[in-house]
Amino acid sequence: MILTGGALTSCGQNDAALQVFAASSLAGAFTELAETFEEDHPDTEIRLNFAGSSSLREQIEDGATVDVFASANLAIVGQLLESGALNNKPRQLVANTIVLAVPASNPGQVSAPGDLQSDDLAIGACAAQVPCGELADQAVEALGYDVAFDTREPDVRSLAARLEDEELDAGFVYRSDVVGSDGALIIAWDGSIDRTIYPIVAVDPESDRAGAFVDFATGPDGLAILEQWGFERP
Amino acid sequence: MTRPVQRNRQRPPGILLTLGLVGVLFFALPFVGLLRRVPWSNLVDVVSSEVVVDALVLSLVSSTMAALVCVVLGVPLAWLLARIDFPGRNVVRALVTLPMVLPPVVGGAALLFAFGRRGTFGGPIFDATTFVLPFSFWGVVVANVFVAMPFLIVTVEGALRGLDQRYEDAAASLGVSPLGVFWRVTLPMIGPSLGAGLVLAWARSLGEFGATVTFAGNLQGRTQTLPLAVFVELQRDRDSAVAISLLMVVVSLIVLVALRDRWWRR
Repeated sequence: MILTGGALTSCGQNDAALQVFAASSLAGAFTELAETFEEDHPDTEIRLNFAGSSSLREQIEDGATVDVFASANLAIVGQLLESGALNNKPRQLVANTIVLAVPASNPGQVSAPGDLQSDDLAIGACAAQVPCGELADQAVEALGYDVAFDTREPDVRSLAARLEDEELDAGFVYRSDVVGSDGALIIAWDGSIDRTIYPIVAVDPESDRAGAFVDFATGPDGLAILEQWGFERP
Repeated sequence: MTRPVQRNRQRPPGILLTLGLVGVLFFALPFVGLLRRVPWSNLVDVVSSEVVVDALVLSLVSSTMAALVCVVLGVPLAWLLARIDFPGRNVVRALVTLPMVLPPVVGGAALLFAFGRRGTFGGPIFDATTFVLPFSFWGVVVANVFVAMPFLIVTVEGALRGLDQRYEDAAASLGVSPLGVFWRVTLPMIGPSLGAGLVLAWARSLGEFGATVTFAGNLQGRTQTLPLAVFVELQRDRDSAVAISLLMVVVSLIVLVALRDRWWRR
């Protein structure tokens, strides 16, 4: 035990660091959430790890050190519960919806999903392997016609960045990505796509600090921050 | 030139033997881990799935294309660097070998800022022709060439510098034009090195990930090469990701065996 502690300290870690894994779409909101939490709990340092939810699930199954996990859909947490990598009850954190977003200058002049049938447009979505890509496929299926995507990005942040750079004319991102883009993106179409619920869970049910962070995130102060970043109450 | 006498029967010092064995394990263990995860029972199904076949074909075609571009542009560049003493030669050499050291994702971002639809050079081209490199097959080739060509340049320049120039001088004194000397004397003499540089560039292209995903995006059948397919499949279907990884190990082994005579001789 003493050896392990020494090794960790020499790597620049310390016992007070709380490891929070969160979906890419939560990056902006959770960075602010963590800063606010640290101000209220000066003895706790938070380490954030953002990636596609499926990728985070793999990391947890492979034994990554994690105290809190916030995923972009319920199914991924369900898989962790099933495989035994997780044995604590998740809580609903926020809701989010997929929207069709375009750069603020709208270079492709997209105003309705029907415009996506044009071959001249550069259109993106997340890869089908991550939640935002699954939702995009559902949205397209509901539209009833094929959309010829030009790229399926590995996570939603890289997709949003391509839209902000105007390399793409339109893409299916979360409402929160549009809100978090500081006006670089606007919503072209906001159809009747089902909301998706983000769960959050303290991986170790015995950990007071992990529980405190989950309480904070799902409490009024946490929700207020999350709403500012475009998320909705669950 | 005399070669040092080989003393094969010599007993290796214990410390060198131990560290050497640790080194061997360091490379062997990851492959043991990979092989243990291979879904042997349905391997054929997984490897022949549409995603994998598309990615394999795209990887092979784009890497071959990139290796050829590397030869066409890289050999003249290597010759200039080896033979012509022009001002700023060291700067040029640093520039064209920089991608060997640079993280590929940085290279991909730089390509995007230069040749993207809103890039410094890509912007005017798009406005004039509506042609864009990102999200296209040619974007993959460009990303591959960017990271792979330095390997060919370094290999070929080294060979040119080690060449006995008296053969070229003799040909020139017989009235052969400078281009003729290059084509009929220099190129045949550096043939083996050129071949090695070509295969190195091809292999580097085949494994390219960072620059490709950043610059060319990820679309099955158009820009999703094998490494990209592994990356996205790892997030959902482990079996598929492991099977593609195995496929890449096999292709890499074939390349190594093909190069065996080049690197393992003596």
